[in-house]
Amino acid sequence: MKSKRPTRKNRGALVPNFSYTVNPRPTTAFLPDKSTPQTLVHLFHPDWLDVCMDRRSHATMPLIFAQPPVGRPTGLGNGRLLARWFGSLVILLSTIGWTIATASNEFEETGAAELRVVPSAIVVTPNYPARYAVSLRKRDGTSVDVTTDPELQIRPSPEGSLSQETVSFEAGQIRTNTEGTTELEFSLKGSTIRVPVTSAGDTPISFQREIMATLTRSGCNLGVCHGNLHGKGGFRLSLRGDDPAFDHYRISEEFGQRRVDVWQAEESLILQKGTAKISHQGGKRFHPNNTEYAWIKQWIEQGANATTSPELESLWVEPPEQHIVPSRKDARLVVLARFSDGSVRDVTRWARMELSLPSGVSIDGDGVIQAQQAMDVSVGVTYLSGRAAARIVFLGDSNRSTESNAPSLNPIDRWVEKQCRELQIAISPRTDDWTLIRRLYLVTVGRLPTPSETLAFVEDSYPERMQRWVDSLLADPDFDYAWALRWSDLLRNEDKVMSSHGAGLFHDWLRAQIASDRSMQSWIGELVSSVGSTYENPPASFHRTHRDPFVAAESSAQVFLGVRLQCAKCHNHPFDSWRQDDYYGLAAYFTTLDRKQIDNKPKDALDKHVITGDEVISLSDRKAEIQHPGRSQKVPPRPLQSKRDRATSPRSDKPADPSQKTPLQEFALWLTEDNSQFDANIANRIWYQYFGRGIVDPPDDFRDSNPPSNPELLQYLQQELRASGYSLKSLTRMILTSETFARAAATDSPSDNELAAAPYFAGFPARRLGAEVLMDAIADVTQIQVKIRGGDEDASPPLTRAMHMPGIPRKPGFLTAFGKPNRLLVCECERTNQVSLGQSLALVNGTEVRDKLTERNNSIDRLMTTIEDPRLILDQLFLRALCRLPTEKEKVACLQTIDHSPDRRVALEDILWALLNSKEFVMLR
Amino acid sequence: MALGCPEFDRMMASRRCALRVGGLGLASVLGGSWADRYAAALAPQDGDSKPPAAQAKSVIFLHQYGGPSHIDTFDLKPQAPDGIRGEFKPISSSVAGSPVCEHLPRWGAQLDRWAQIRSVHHDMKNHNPACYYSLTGRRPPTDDIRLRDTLELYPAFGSSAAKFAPSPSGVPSFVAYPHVLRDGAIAPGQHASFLGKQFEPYFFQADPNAADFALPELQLPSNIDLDRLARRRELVKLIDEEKRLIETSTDARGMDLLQQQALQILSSNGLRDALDLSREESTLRDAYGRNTYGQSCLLARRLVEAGVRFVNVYFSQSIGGAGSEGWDTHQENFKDLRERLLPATDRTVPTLIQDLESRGLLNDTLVLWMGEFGRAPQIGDRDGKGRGHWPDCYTVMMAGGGIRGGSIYGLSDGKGAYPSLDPVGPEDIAATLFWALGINPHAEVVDTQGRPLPIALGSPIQSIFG
Repeated sequence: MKSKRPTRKNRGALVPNFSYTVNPRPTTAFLPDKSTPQTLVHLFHPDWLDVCMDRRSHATMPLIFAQPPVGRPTGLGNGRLLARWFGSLVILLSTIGWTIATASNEFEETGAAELRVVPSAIVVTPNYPARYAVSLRKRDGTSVDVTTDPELQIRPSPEGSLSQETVSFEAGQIRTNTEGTTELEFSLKGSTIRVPVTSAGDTPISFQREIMATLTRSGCNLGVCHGNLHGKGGFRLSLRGDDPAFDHYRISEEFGQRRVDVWQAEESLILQKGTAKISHQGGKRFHPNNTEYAWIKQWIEQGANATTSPELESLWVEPPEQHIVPSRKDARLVVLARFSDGSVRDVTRWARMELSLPSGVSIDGDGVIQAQQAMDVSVGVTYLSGRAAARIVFLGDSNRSTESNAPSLNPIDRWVEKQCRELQIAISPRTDDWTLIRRLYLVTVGRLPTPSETLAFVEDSYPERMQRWVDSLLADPDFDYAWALRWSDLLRNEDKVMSSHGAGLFHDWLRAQIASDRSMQSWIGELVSSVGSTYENPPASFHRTHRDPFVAAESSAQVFLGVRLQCAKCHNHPFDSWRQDDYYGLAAYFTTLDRKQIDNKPKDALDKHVITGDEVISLSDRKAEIQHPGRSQKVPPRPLQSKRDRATSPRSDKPADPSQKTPLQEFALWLTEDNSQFDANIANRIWYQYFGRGIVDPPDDFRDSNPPSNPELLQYLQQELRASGYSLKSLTRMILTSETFARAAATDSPSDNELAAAPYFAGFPARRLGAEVLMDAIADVTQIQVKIRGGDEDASPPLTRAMHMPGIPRKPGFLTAFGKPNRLLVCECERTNQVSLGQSLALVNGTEVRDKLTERNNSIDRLMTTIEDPRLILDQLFLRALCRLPTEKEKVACLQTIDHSPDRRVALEDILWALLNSKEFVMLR
Repeated sequence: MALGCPEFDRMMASRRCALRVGGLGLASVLGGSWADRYAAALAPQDGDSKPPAAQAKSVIFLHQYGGPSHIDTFDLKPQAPDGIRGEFKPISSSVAGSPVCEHLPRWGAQLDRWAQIRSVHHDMKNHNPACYYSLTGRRPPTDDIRLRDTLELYPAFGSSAAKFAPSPSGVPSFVAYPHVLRDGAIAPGQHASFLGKQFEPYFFQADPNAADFALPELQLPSNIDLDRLARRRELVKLIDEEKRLIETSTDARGMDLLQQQALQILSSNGLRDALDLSREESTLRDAYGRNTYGQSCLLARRLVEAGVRFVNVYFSQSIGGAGSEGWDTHQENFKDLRERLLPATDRTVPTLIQDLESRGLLNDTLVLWMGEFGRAPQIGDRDGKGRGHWPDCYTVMMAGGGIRGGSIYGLSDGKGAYPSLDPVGPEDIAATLFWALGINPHAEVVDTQGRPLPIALGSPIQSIFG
């Protein structure tokens, strides 16, 4: 089991005689693989990998990693199974008090559900009692936990060496002190499953395994406790058990061994503090009756040595994904670890389990999850150096239709609808044409359609209407501006570092890439590998805004791969699989860059963040390498490696490429070529632009414990992106012409027993307009142009569209209040759609609205001079602001306002004010 | 040390105290945790030993940008050599054994309302990083003179307070004015950062001392009366009802609530009246001082009265010095303090405390007076008459909100150069003011990377309360 990576031989080959539940949840794995994305998914699935390997080298225990065994009461021609079923039936019938009473109302029909048990092979030792989870699974894939169902019968089979007397079962746990094997029979309502059980002895308590797990489990090494960089109370441990050798030194050796007492183990400081027998600021972490206490005591008695044990090889959770029926809000997990000696242990009690949602759900030390309402929650599991995750969907009970009313041929819709069916989420109907055209303009070109454009769309009866409109918008220069704005945000195009001239050039270059629909793979590759004058070669600006190797590494990972490495700068990532090696390996690519300022004359000589004039980026002939804080020597460039292929990735050992590529070019190649994480991230970012929400959300936080809400959808988009040659416009076209894009806004405050629709795109996620779009929209509706100045030393006349600003505004104001970022971070979160009191005051009584309402020759004046009938004026105002005609009720009320006012203009100002302050105007919906 | 404060004598008598003084090197490395651990020993031994309870409802945070000299105000060193002692004579105050500078006679007479924390220290020598540290209680990543303000940096105290203890509706939770602090670049720590827009301070730059002081956003234009505003409100309600967005979208609902609040502010008395300083007696306005700082402090009292949780009053927009604006007295330290800074301070701050007290607000209002650091004991910076930056030891003043008047926490050495007892970090100041507001200093917030972080890293100095 040395190789953690499938070889060419077994790659992609299905193992016969097993059934698979393919769960194509992409992991953050970066294999340079030529196989199709579909194959990659299979390969990266943890169960799948394990099957491959075990078929090769561990032929004796193949069942453990296959799909859980399924009990079928009818046997269906399988003689042995039938016999077994009869046997258990006899036993069951002989049980006093056995009735046909059902465990759950969901499963009244016998045969409608299968009995399932995880794990499929149970290993138990005195130190590691084993847990099991029993569930009934309906044909639609939903299940209910019956582990503690009073009707559930469990007994060892008579043939095994363990018997009823030596094995005890309680609340999902098996304990035994007798070594041996048997098969356990789980029976419920006529279904029976047999699961092999092995009871083994324990190895002595080892520091590396038991003590480290105890420290983590008790929270001793968390960042707020002794895991802090400065420790606590003079005692420091490595953060979340990163470094066992360090921790052993601190516990057993530091300060003349004051923390352990091998002669009187119970007097050891670590036990006295941990049990709060003497004052401990962290309080009581465990009780003297707990296993934690017993283990530490035993280990100290053994001599408190840095004992090692078999290394952790893999960690996984069973079941990896469950859909729980709407009537139940509980589920159960089992965490299993396999060690380098081949042994498997139940480590549920020793794993730290963290939920992806902060409230409404809890998990206890036995892996039992309780939710308060319908939700889709992930559990991130950490044990020693291992990470694993599981997903539990507590289904909602929707009384509305989960079927789409407008079947579509667009595969995007198929994936969305499939998921909505499975998760029983109500699908919003198609929205009306007025709303749709407004939405389409706002997400593509960042402006409102004019009244004539709106009417033309509504009256367009051409069957392929959407395609036509989308195509014309994709050709609009404002589409390029909208995307250049987004990329300028992400690439930190701001005036101080870039100079206003440089920011403008970089912005122009970005627009040109969008306009020509150049392959994103190609222009992003150019961006990260370009050097030279940033004025003559604007893509070199990436290395002007990202000024040191660390920032460049963090930013490339976050912007182009959607992963956050920052934590791994100081310690291995606590919630993800990234290690310091990944961080410094990536940073090393950027160590040979030199920067020379050509004409730098900052007004403030002390402000080192300001670079006026050009900067020339060049590559020195220094060796690309960087000091790694945890190693004695510098480390060379190395791409990110996922957990699974870390051990023997051929790339990490490969000698330098003989071709004359610069480190930046090598980086660009790795980043963009055959990098499934790049594809997933780009596809997700494109989706985010149109829906305001990623399939992985936030879009720059791909993690095992933050899985995509719809893995198949993301997979599909990724595939399409690749197939289209990384064409932004192709993928955009496909997304915008889907039914999914055209659905009515989803409610984002569902009832307690309903899953929110927006994460699954069962309806359109409504949100506030972005700062620039809002400013331009107010200007368009009032027909008074925006006047706004960009960067600090930009002498050009003020801009007339906020959307066109290359850098950031000179002064904070309307745009800043509405969330325009300062572009100092690469995080999507720097731009915010949050609402605030300042924003409301700005709209209700701020100058941006107030002055435009009263200024002469605004839209009110223009309409009044050309149109006499107030009804028609109203139509125009509503069309301009809300892209629809007024309802009868609105018309009556507005006409009343006009009639009662001595001055028609004043009345129209009030009406227009109300339109601009309506939620309908401020929202993208 | 010559002060002979009773707590100190008591400390010297105990074994733990010896350990503490001996272990000062370690203590300063560990910052607040040590200070906290032994804070209990400083608590009054007589009477009941019940720990004090948090009781402040509001905080007025007076920030003196540039760094006020501690050694020339409250932590005088009359026994120190010439080059350190300074020109100012100590005068006795209402706290026995705790003289103050001769240019703070009113404050000195009122010192029995104040707690002095004389051992605050950190390691940021430049204004912007130190300022950020003082406004957030978080150590900046670098001592960069032009530290850039990003969402990775921590929120202002008031934003955290707004999150965990919002004001009753109708008024903002956090108000800050009348300057943006900047030294070359905007100093970080003046806004909500990663907490989000809803916790931003309500901020304005208008001068409360100006005759026409008004906030245009809060002032309806002359052609819009309340009737017209009500008509507009009816129309917007009608349009909103048509598409029922408010029912389905949390954002729309939030926007609606905030819009109501904005309209309420515009059409009602609460905040607008609080901002109307003309309602104050002219004599009281004079007593506060007819200058930006004086009227800002008066405004702070009015805001607290109206229910605002947290008020930041910034003394000046820049570090100033040399007669210009702030407290950065590299040149002419004594002249600047004597002629400009101390008279204004001595007029305004004691008036604020008196005013709060006479209105029964002082017990509910914690007032902090501090800067981003102190000033160097050694005289002679630049022109030979100035004092340089000194983050290694300075004084923070607190009054009201349950503060035990006359207490002194921590001491500086004979030169006012380093803490000699109970060192305190900005982290502990942060924890203290959250604790005083009844907010758990370890309450967690989540930053842009999803890291759960406590709002304050230090421990509250509880012994100065009660």
